[in-house]
Amino acid sequence: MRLNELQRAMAAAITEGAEPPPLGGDGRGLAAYRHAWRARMVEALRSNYPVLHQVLGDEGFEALAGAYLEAHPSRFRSIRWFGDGLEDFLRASPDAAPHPAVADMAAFEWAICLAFDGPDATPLAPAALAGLSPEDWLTLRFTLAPTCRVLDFEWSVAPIWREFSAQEDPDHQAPAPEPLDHSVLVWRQGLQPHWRSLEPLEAGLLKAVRGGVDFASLCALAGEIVGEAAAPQAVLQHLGQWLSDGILAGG
Amino acid sequence: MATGIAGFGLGLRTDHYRDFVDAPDQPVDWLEIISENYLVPGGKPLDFLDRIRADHPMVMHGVSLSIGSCDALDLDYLRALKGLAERVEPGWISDHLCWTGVDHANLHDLLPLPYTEQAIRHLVPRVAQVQEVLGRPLVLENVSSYVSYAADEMSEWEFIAELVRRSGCQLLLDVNNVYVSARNHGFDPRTFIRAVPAEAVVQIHLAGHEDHGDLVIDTHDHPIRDEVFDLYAFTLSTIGMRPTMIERDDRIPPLATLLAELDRVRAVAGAALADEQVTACA
Repeated sequence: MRLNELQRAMAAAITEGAEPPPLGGDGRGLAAYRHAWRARMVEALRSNYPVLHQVLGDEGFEALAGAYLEAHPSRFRSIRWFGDGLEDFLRASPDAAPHPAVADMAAFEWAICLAFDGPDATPLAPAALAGLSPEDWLTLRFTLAPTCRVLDFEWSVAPIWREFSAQEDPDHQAPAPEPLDHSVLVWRQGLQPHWRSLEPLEAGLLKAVRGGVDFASLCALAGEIVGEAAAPQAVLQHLGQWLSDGILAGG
Repeated sequence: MATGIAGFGLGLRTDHYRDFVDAPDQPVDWLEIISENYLVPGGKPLDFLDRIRADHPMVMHGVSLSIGSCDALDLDYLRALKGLAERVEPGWISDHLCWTGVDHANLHDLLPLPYTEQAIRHLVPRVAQVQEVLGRPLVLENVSSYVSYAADEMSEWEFIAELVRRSGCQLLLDVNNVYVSARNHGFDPRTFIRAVPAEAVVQIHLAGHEDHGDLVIDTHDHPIRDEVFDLYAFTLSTIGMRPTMIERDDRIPPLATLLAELDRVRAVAGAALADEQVTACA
């Protein structure tokens, strides 16, 4: 038997319960590989989605993990990234989860997971904006920190998450998700991932910053909601918050 | 080549980051990192790595090289590993003598190879390729195994010795894995230890396992068992002292517990080496 045929047969025996390649002895150890493979992959997914695990419970989470594993065997070098497609999987296979809100939850947890060890960046220092002329301000463009993500949800993800992070009872029951259009910002400040809910204006502004528009265009965007006169002040207020939260990257 | 690695070490685990940062003089001679944990863009893992590296020599230990797989070697991974090595300046870089997947699907397990001439011929040029990219010898660890293949043409120790001879790789001798495989396949672990090319061994791993009677599982979530301490003593009296560490991957106890266990490793090593001297003088 050629080496690649042996490896293919062994991999199929472990992951699909197929007939193994000819083994020495009674082959009783094969079950250990089968068990360990499944347990390892479920555990990897659980460590990337701890709140989803809490919300679904052991049984529900394992069922979801099993379905995901079957559809998306890991192709990653490092198991750290296993689970990157869970949100898409949930949106494409609504039957895999008990509630459509689970896809929103998955998107949220994965964003936090990415923020944890995403690229480092030097935050934009307020001093960099001091002394700019009014003309400079009009064409000023900002860069979001690389770990910064604005997520749009249809279900009450932020309230559920807040409730779970506030209590320590592992048997705590999740409140039923309610339809709720809202946006959440996820980013890392220093070494710590953070998140907070966004008002529509701030969500729009952050998306526009990501799109590369200048300060004048941000003001125009704000003007559509708060009126032209109040727009610069509204944008500056958010800008001050972004600077103190480390949401903008410096040069 | 001077590596700065000698004596007794531990695997660095996230649970103990704080202990090492708060007390840089912890009584360990060196630390082993899991390379993949730091092949990330930034954030806490790399921040702690740099701070702890400032006070402790390190070696790098990978789990996903898949040197034995029939898939092509992942050059992006190798280059990332080399990049990490430039940051860490490790004493050496190790991974496992195994395969972790095939057809680009990764099982993330350390699966045994068949001990055949065909497998050796597959491995030798791959080891050469890795050593070329990394610019240093590759250190390979013997894995625990729960099955053997009907295709086997030689013993595991003959397979390893031949691979070392033809590829120039070095060895990380996991004494617990030798014990686990010996029990599962019914050979004398001392035969393995006597046959292993001693000059190629640069490091020793010790760990705990689960004994189910007819199957021994390498879980790395228990203290080292007495039988493995005995085999460790036999190993040192056979090949001499090598940098030795405890590899604990799950149910991680407080650092103080592992340091106490490391003291026992030191005592066993001291006694084994003293016995060896007595024997040599007799």
